[in-house]
Amino acid sequence: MSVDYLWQPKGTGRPAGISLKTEHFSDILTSRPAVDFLEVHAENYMTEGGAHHRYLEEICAHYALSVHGVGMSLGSAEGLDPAHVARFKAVVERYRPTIVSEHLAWSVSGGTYLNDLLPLPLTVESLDVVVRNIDTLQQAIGRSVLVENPSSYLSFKSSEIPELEFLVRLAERTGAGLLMDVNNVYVSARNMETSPEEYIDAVPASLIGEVHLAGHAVKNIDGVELRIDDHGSAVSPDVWALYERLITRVGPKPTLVEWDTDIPPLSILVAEAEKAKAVMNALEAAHV
Amino acid sequence: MSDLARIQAGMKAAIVKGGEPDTALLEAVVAGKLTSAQRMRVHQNNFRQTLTSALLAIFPVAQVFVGEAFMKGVAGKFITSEPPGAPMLSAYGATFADFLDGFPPVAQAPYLPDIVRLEWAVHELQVSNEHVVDEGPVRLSPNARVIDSRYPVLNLWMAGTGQIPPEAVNLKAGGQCAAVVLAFGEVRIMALDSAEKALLVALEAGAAKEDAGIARMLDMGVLAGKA
Repeated sequence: MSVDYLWQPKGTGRPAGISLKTEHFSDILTSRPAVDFLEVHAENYMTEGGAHHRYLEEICAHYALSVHGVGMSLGSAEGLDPAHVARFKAVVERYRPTIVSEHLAWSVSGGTYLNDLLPLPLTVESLDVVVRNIDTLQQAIGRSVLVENPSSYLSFKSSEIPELEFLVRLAERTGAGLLMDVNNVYVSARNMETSPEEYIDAVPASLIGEVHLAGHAVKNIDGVELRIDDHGSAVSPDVWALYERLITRVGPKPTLVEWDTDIPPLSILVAEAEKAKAVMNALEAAHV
Repeated sequence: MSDLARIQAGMKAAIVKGGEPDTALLEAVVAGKLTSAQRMRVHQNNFRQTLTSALLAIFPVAQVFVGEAFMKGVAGKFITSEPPGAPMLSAYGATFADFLDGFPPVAQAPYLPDIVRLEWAVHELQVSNEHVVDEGPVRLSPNARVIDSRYPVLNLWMAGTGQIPPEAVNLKAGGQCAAVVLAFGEVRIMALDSAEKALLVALEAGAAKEDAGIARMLDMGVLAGKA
């Protein structure tokens, strides 16, 4: 199996990309913004036909693609749904993306799909389950994937392995890389009262195949603040600071700005990606 | 059952059903500044809100007739009763019309299930591949769906999409039969008259004779096969 999560694009080596939303299809084709890659959710391209396939095929002629799964349920105790694995494989074979990724989460139990990235107790048992499921997925598609750290709203008393150690151990056992979502690190740390800086400082640079940035919402529940990872606004200043901290230590990594609700005009998303690129460029220049 | 499977079954029940999760689940969760129940509610709300939005996006015309509050309410009941079976939301909602048939408050707008059937047919064909069928006996095309309604479903659709004024729809004017056809990458809605409807019934029974109607419906894309 090839280790293809370490994408070294031609040119600058500092690729910055954005989510590809249906709202921006024609705008992207006419304005051809200077972003290095685009990311789609695999599940949105599992239909046999439709205009969105025709657009994506055309867009792929001009941009590198990342296929990001949101429904594989790598943490399901019952294992992966073979039908879903087959659909995922078909998307990967059809579009031959540069990056393929999924989440450390579960969303299926007893054959019911809960349309959410649900938290796992981080135990030896669940580590075995996730390793087995990643193996199944990677065997099916014939390539390695990146696994994204979750945004958390709750944790389990039975958890015995810290999240980052859990991710590193499953990467070591499966050959998968990490998709380091800096916004998720921040959201989880604020919600679980831990240090986002400690987490960011401990991520092994060599495992990071992609970085995610996104905006989140702040909710007030009976006087207590809760951060919700809704991908519906600009990246927050605190998350930019964490990103800079990460990139300073690990060097440039393909970075993608996600935006999934309250989608703004394309130019706003492109400007966010340019900001990420500027962070990478500035640090690179400082090192010379 | 393993510990992981037990937690997942417990969370699934709490998320699909809504309301207060059972004690065993709440005790398994670390509380902190927020209670375990408040933390679980994030996931309970997420499930309901995202699936409700997905359904409302597929059925915008139905919403014109009964309003957002009603649609959200009935979508919530449907989501609890028939949660998705696969992580592919474009396929979720196929049974929504049948669910509405058995939902008593729909009696206020009895035409609603057929509007939903029409919208589902449009949605389903929009994400389908166009099948090429030029062999075999003449039959309903795999690229076509027929909604034979007791209500003027096409006029209702026109009113719901703002193409005719609502007062132009007379609910007592009798039923209409709609055909939804995917052809050349586009989905179109057309009316079938009583002769065309009769022809479809005859074809299904294997009793149709060759006539001009068949040729015309092959042209429309409603029928497929070799005449």
